[in-house]
Formats: sequence, C-alpha cells, structure tokens
Amino acid sequence: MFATATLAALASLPVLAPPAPILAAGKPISVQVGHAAPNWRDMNGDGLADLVVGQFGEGRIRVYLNVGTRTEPKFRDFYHLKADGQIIQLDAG
Amino acid sequence: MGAGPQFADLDGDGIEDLISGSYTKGVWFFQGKTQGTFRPGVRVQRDGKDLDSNSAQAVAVTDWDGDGKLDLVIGFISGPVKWFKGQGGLQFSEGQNLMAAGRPIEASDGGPVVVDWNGDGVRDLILGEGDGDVKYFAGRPGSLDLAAPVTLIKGSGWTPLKPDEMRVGIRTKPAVGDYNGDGKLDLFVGDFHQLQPVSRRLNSAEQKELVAATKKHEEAQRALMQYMQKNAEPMMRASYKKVMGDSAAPASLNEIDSQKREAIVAEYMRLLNEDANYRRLTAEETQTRTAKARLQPEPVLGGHVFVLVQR
Repeated sequence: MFATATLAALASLPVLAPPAPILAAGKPISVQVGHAAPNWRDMNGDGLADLVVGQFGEGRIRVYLNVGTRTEPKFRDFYHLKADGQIIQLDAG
Repeated sequence: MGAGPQFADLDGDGIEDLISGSYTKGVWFFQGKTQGTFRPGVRVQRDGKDLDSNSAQAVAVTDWDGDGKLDLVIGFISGPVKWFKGQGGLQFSEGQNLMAAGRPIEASDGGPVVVDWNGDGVRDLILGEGDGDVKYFAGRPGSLDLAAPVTLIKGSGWTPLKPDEMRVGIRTKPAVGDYNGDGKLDLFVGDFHQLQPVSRRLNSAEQKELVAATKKHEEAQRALMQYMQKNAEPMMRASYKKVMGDSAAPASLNEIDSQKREAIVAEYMRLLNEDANYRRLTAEETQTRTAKARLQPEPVLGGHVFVLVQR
C-alpha cells in the first residue's frame, strides 16, 4: 500500500503527453550510433532555445538551431559544435 | 554514452561553459568564450586522475548539497550513481554514492538530470537507465537521501524498430526545458535503438540465397567467437602485464586508472591486429556479413530525441 505522503508526491507530479519524436526537416532526428543525449539551450543568442544533442559516433555534439518560434520550435539541419574551430570529439570508444 | 553536453558557469567567470562526460575518458570542461562558443576541452581531474575511472560517464552539473558551489552528479556504465562535491572551479572531492530510500542508486548507463521537477522547492533527480526506463526520485527537504523512484518512461528494448515504427529504445538520456514556451518544464529524452531498413522483395532464388548466406555468416561468427573465447583472455593478460607489471589484476578493468586502462586496451588491440588467425576470422565474418546484407539490409544504429510536453 502507498503511504499518504507517497500518494501526495505522485499527485504533484507533472502530467506528460506521450513521447513525440523531434523532427528536423520533417524527419525524426537520429544521431550516429545512438546514445542521443539532448539539451535545450540558446546557442546563438537569438533568445530562442536550440536543441543540442550529444551522440556516440565520434563523440560529437550536434546543434539544431531553432528556426521556429518560442511556442512552436522548428529544426532544419545541424552543425557540429566546435572548440576554437575544431569539431569537438569526446572519445566514444 | 559518447557526448552528453551540459551547460553551466563552472569556473564562475559569468559565461556558460560546456561540460561533457565521455565513454572512457572521464569528464571534460570546455570554457565558454561567448554564448555558444568554447575553448578546447580539458579533462576534469583530481590529483592527475579522472574523478572516477568507470566508463560511459554522463554528467549533471548542479548544486547537489545546496552549499552554493556547483557539484557533479555522474552516472556510469554500471554501479552506483555518484556525486562529487564541488570545492569551487574545477576542484571536486571524491565521489559519494547518490542515495534513495537509504540505499545507493544503482544504474546501468545512468543518465542523471537534477531539477525541481515537482515544483516543491527541493531538487529532484531524473535518471535515464540502460533498459531505457526514465525514473524520477523526489528530493526531500534538508536531506541528501531521495525518495524511492517512480517510472516516468518505460524503455521498449533492443528489438529493431520496423520502418516508420517509433518508440523509446534503450540507454535513455533525459533533459528538461520549456520546449513549447508555455512556462512549464517539459521532458526530453534521447535513446539508442536499431532501425530495420526497408528491404526489397526477394524472389525464391534470392530467398534460398539468403538462407545460405545467413548460415555462412553464423558459422563465421561462431568461429570468431570460439577463437576469441580461447585467446582473448591470454592476450588481455599479456597487455595488462606490459602496462601494469606484476601487480594483481582487479576484478574489473574499471578499477584501473583510465589512462593506464587506455594503454592496456591499445596494447590489446595491437596484439589482436598482429594475430593472423584473428585477421583471417574477422575478414571472413565481415565478408559473409556483407554478402548477407546485400540480400537483407542490416539494422542501422541510431538515437532519436523525444519530447514529452507537460500538460
């Protein structure tokens, strides 16, 4: 049986819609060799959060700039995040 | 777990930095220059060693103990999720187990996110796991011990996705943020999956060919596996000895300092690639696999990103 405190904690949980794949140029985003590790951050200072995704393949980080709006984000393509001009490659085995 | 980008002003200079775990090389810090641009990475270490030598490190940067300094919460390929108390900047204390209901939180491929998810003013933990499940551990005021978990997402396993099928796979990595600008936190999750590509219709001769090619490939796989079962361990022993001398091998490679471990693995790879039998058996495996894939394409490895919007 659940304790009252547990029930209260469960009742306070956000209610979520089912998982919906995020698309870029109309297709579900899929990163190389998987292990997609997302983050939601403004990367170009335009005031809109962008989608940043780490991947296993070469340990690269993809940046999908938000080309939509604040309430309807949209993504077209990505670039690999760089450090001083070099594509970041965290080791991936 | 390859790259897992996190953003926080770790060095306290007012500009967000990039922090990421890696598969076998610990945690990396990329100093922020301006918004979204970074300097080359440096490895976050303690006394010249990685914070932890376990692999597949996934990091959350957060003030876990509420002392005003940023700490790191790290999930690994296996074992307990740990937190590393920040001493300011890139200095961290030794890892301590993250606890829930009085016990260490064990996870394979743990992917932690720390956030006040239920809005009660206390930080909570959201954890992606190897089987794809995403769990929520409520924080308790004034305590480092979290409540027992509740499952937010069920992983759907490693069975390849059919063309156009969509479900959350394994080794999930969560994130939170306001996706649709309604002021409420939404849950993001990345996964690891296999996708079965559309295959063309085979005529009856090709179907027979596929059966034969599959059998040949299975035989080549078996031969390679049997050879490795016999020879991998002696080769690994020799590689260990070359790097570590006569010191006794620990139960797990993860207990060895990661730089030494890399040297052992590199030596092992060198021995393997010099081994003529290994080269012949892998070439046969590759060749028979390619022959089979011409008739039936192999599943493609990928990682989708999902958003679960808060209602």
